[in-house]
Amino acid sequence: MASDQDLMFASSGPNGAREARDFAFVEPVHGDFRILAVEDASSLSEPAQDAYLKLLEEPPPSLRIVVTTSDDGLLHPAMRSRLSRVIRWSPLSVPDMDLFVSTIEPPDHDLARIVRGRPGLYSLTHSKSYYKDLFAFVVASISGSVDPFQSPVPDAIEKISNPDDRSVVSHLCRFAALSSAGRPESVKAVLSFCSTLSSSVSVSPSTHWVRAAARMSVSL
Amino acid sequence: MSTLVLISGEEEFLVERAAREEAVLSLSSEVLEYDLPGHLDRFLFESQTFPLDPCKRAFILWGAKDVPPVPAVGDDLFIVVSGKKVLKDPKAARSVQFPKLKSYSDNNDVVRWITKEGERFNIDLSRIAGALFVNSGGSLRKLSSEIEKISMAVPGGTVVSPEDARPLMCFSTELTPKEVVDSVCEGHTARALAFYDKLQDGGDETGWVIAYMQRHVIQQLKLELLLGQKASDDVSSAALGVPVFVFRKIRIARGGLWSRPSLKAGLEALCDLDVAHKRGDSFVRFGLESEIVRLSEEAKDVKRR
Repeated sequence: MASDQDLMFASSGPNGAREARDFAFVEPVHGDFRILAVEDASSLSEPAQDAYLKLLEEPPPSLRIVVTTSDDGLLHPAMRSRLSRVIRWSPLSVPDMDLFVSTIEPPDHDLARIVRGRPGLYSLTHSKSYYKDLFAFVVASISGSVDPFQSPVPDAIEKISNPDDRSVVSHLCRFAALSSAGRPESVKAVLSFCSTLSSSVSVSPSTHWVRAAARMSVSL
Repeated sequence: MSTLVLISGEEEFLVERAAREEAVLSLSSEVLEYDLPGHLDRFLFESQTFPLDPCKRAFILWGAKDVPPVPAVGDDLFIVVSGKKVLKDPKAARSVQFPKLKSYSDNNDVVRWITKEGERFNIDLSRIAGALFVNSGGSLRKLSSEIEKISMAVPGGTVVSPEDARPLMCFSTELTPKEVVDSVCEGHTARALAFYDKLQDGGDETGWVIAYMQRHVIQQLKLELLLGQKASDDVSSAALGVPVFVFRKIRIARGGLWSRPSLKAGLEALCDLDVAHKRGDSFVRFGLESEIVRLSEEAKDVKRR
């Protein structure tokens, strides 16, 4: 166990990697190790991920680095190749998820079905109806029952203001695309939108959604 | 050959804005200003002395009672600003006189809209509606923020006079990507590229230009779709999020300039450039220039036909 002084959550800002290096090369205050946690690493830009490469390659002996990501496939290959051990958390089974759902009032079983056994995603989207609307809208767009280009940009996309929102929208759109029966090019358009949203932190979600909508639109 | 622009009018601040806008739009490398008659000698000397490094210059002459001699050779721009007195010179390349500062279509609609906006804020803008219109260059976004600003500064029910408005007005004549997009729509490729170049003087504005062009291409795609569906003006203007008179203006000036496949290709290219720009790729500038050229040349072809 590491004490508070020996634990650091790396900032996702531009100085995150530099601060992490400063932290890494100081000896532990109490125990044998210092722990550096890099959360949601796939949401970092490519240069930001590159900035951690040296540290991941040759960490000081007293440092343990924990990198979290929703999908290790989204990590930059150079960073992915430097992780010595990858632990994958499986989605919860239906009974376990039901148990989790019952701990947050009011229980929303429709949402539980949408988030596919991911309790973190459930917590972030719970009681925010615009996320469920987004899911339904993407499914309808892919199936061709609405023309997304002639419809307003969904609220959930308009309201994106931080990396968490981006990640949630990207996941929901991806789940919607994978669970819809529709034109393959529409599914591809949505998946491409998700990939842009996850990999480029500063692009405008609305504009790139309109691009996906134009690809899906049957009237264009 | 030099260009001479004469500006006269009652509203001092509008005249000032018009002069500065002419200077900015001329893409001159240097803007030199003189108060006449005090600085006449200095103006005569400097205007006839050509710099070693040949560059275009804009000379603004404030408070002129007459048009001073200007050299005919060279590429310089001379902006002679008088007060209420209208200067007349047969040699003038063109004459700009307030309120016919520039020809905008549907001017009256915009002016009526300004007055209505004023009513919404419980102020009477009838005395300055024309001035506001000219000062904002017809940009509704700018107008809207100017009106809101004035409404906060004067008590409700006030008839706003030019004296009330003048200290509150924003006289920004900075270049924006709007000029790039306008030039693209008019099919002036060289001018669009020159504006883009000029924008880069103040730092890397590529992201701003990309975002502006993305918005423009999306609006054009929606416009083409609405025109194809023969939607009414009310429905179309609501779909585009603009007042009806603005929609009519857009339809006349920009409808049919590009085909849907061309606009879709433009949107794809601009989105790819946006991602590349955010990643710091260096080729983005060339990609954006080639997109400007493509769209502008297509618009030029349509206008020619």
